[in-house]
Amino acid sequence: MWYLNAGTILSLLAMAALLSGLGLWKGAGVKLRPYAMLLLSVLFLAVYSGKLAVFAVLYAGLNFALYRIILGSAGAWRKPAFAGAVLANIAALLILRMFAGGLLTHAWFAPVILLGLVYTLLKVINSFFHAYYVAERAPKLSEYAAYLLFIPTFTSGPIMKLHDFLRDVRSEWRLDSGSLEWSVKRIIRGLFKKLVLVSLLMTVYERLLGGELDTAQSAAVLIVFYILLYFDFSGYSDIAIGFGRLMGIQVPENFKKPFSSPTLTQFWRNWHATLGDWFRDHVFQTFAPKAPSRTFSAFMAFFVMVLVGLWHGIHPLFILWGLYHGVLLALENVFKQTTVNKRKVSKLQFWARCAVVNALIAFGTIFFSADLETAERILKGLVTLP
Amino acid sequence: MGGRIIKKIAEVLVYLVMLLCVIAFFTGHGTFIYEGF
Repeated sequence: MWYLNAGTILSLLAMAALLSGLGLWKGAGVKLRPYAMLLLSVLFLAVYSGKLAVFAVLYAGLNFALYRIILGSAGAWRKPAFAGAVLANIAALLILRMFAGGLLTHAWFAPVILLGLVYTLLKVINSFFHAYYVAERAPKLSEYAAYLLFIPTFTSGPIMKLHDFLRDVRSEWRLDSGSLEWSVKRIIRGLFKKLVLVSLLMTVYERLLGGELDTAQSAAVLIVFYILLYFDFSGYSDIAIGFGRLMGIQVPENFKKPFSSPTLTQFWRNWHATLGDWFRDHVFQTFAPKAPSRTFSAFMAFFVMVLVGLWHGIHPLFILWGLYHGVLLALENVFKQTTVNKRKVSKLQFWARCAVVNALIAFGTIFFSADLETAERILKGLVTLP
Repeated sequence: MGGRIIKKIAEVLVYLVMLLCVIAFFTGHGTFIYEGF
């Protein structure tokens, strides 16, 4: 994994130090910033893998050309240009993922080029929406490529929007002592979660899975795995957010106390929040009428979760995961239970709802448990009384 | 005032322990941590 390496952390610190130094250069610093950010990002990728760096640069250049085409097109050509660019990117990713085994064996390629691509795709599509709907303060090539290849968020988000990145990268910025302390603490917390807590929980998880599974043990496996996923991904996000701030970029929060969500709809606004925001802004709002009906919202909630499942990977377990959460979210919409205000219900009712939501999410992690065989074992264990 | 200093010292110690655990992991001295991998 990207961050399980002391060299990576030291390189990111060096990158932050160089960008902070540039921030001291009044006037010229802000002009040179996107170039420096891009250069350091490409250098970082090149040290990791030359093929990945070349692919990432070409991918960014090609999509910048598509961005300019959408921006420059007018009249009847504008919509087809926008839709064509979005669909071409999705098709390219699908082809790469579905036929990776065959395509990537060619000497020019390597599986490593897929690193972070599902996240970069979402950023690319966001940029096309920017060109189509906003169409002002357009980025230069250096800014656009720096946005796509920004190292702290390159592999797994949080998913930044082009608009927000441009706002930060174009602002005069100096690293102050408050930001430095905040960032270092955030990075340490993230590393501690990702390396230490996840490793400890992994040991517990594997020991539990190694034995015979009955209801209690299967439930314990799911709870441990749920907490493990939280520490793993929120730890990663902490590191990305911390390094982002050290480099003057406000990376959005990904985890906003998800365990205290009283409905599943609220849970998905708090867990991997930037992914939920992305799908709301780019899928739901694209297709939604001005006043969407309850049936439409239920259908869209289902559709979006199936898409999110497929986005995680083209695998039966991810499709099942999408269907499971899609049905649950659709039911919440049908029964008007998408939001619960903490102030309008009793404490007992609120926390009972949170417990039910966490139980449903923990059960859903069964679809993330490596393979069909393991998922089947856990499922059988759940219905085997001790 | 005294309370604030004690709180700050406690915070520094907690982060120091977390950092030491991370360094132990990176330097391979934290094998107890990733037993099972």
